[in-house]
Formats: sequence, structure tokens, C-alpha cells
Amino acid sequence: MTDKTDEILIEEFQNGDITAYNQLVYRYKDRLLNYIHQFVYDIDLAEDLLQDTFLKLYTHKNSYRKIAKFSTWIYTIAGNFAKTELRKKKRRKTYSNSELAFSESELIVPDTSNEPDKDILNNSLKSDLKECLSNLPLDFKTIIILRDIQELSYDEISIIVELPLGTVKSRINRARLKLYECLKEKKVV
Amino acid sequence: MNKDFDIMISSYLDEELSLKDKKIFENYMDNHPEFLAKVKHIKRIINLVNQTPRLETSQDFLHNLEENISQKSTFNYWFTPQFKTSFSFTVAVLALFFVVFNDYNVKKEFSSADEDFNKQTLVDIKSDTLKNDNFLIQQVKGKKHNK
Repeated sequence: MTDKTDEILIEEFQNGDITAYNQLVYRYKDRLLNYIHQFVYDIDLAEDLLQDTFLKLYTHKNSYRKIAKFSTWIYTIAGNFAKTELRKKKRRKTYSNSELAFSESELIVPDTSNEPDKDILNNSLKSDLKECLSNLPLDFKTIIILRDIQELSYDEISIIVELPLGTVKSRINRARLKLYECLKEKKVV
Repeated sequence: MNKDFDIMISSYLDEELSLKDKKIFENYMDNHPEFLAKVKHIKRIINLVNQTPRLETSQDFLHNLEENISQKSTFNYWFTPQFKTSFSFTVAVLALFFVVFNDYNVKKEFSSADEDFNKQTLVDIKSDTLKNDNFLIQQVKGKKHNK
């Protein structure tokens, strides 16, 4: 792979270099899939939305301006697709509990310890945590995903969610406290 | 007081606090075991959220994307400036051709109608002349007979 920055690659793509586009897709496909999946909890739907995201990148390449980081721009596009899909689902009123459930593969925890009790505890905590995370209000959920799963900086999150840095910091804190309270209610912490 | 420190938890865990605030925060934790436990739990939660199993795109994802792009490109061609220009040019040429052709046909129709009219007029004049000639001959014959 190349050491070129995302910003150089998008510039090359804007100048007609399709290999630069392929490299960007390769770089971001899994990261964005995980990001979108945290909203929709459906791997096929998440892939479809990811296809839409990369199609938009392809057709609207010139909408990107150098003033922003490429990552914040592409995360914004992917997030908008995911949120629009969520709104559509709510409008259709077919938001069943199954959509909030998790697939079996998601609950598989890598075997990191030989202590079975600890594993069971971890599994339970993880599944409860996922449930708490999925029940967070969308604004909080988005911010937690961006910070604690995607590991973006406060500045990047601030640009993606279009909120001042101070608000982002306080929302991250409140979201984490909400998760803590939720797990406390479930008596897992 | 606890609420003030609650606000600082994430900043502390993300190492965003100033040295001075960090000392105050840690001092508070040392004196409040319950709060210390809460901070530890939140740190664990962050770690667990971060350890969420990572998904990977399916094997045919890139192939599907390629197909979608080629479909989109064909569809988008209809909206490209080049297509719009060539389409407008073609329409303009066709329109011009239609106007010219139509004008030519109209003129042709008019001229053939004129020709028909002229021919008919000639025929009418001829027949009128013949009638007049006959009438005159008959008149002359009649005068001679009277004499």
C-alpha cells in the first residue's frame, strides 16, 4: 500500500486517478462498515449503505474541499446515510425489537483468558453494554461510536457532528455516564 | 461537589485535563473510594466498547461496488455537460431541418396549387373564348339570314 495521505489521494482522484479512489475505498471500507453497523445493526444493510457512501464519493468527488480532513468528510457522508436509514425505518414504523438485537457473531468474544468465570462475566457485560449502547439517544450514540470505537479525536468529531468542541467533550462525558448508569441498572457494574 | 467531578471524568480518562486539574481530580478520587470505583468502571466500559468485534466487508463488496459504479457512470452520462451539449446541438439541428423542410414543402404546395390554378384559368379562358367565338359566329350567321 501507499504512504500517501488521504488528502493527497482524494486530490489525485479529483484529477482523474481511479487507483487513488480504489486506495481510499480499501483504506476506509472496514472502518466505515463498523461505523454504519453501529447504527443499523444489520450487516447487509450496513454494506448497502457503505456502497452508497463510496458511490457518493465517486460521483461527488469534487464536493470535497481541502479545508477539511478527508476522514471527517467521509464519516459525515456515511453517518448521514445511516441516520437517514434510521429515520426511514422509524417512519415506516417497523422498528421491531429484532433490529435492536445482535447477531450471534457480534456476541462472540475472542478467547483472551483461561478463566471461564471471567469470560462469562465479560460476555454478559458485553451483551448488556451493546444493549445499553443501542438504546442511547442517537446524538450520544454517534459521539461514543466516533470516540470509543473509531478512536477519532475530539476535533474530528466536532467537525463531523457539527458541534463546538466544548459540546462534544461534555456529550462524550454524558454518554459514558449514561452507559454507566444503564449498566448499573442491569447490575453488571 | 461530586457533580463537578463527574463532568471531569472523560477529560481525565482522555488525558485532557491540565496538570493542576488532574491533581485535584486524583486527590478527590483518593478521598472518595466510591467515586474512584465509578471512574474505574467507566474506564472499563470504554475499553469494552473499544473491543467491539470488528466487522469486515464481504468478499464481493469491491466487485459489487465496481458494478454499481459502472451502472452509475452509464446513467450519469445522461446528465454530463458533454451529453447535454451534444443533445442540445442535435435537437437544434433537427428543429432547423424540420423548419426548413416544412417551409420548403409549404412553398412547394403553394407553387403547385398556383400552377393548377393557372392551368385551370387557361382552360376556362380558352373555353370562354370558344364560347364567345361560337356566339359571335351564330350572331353573324343570324344577321345574314335576316337580310
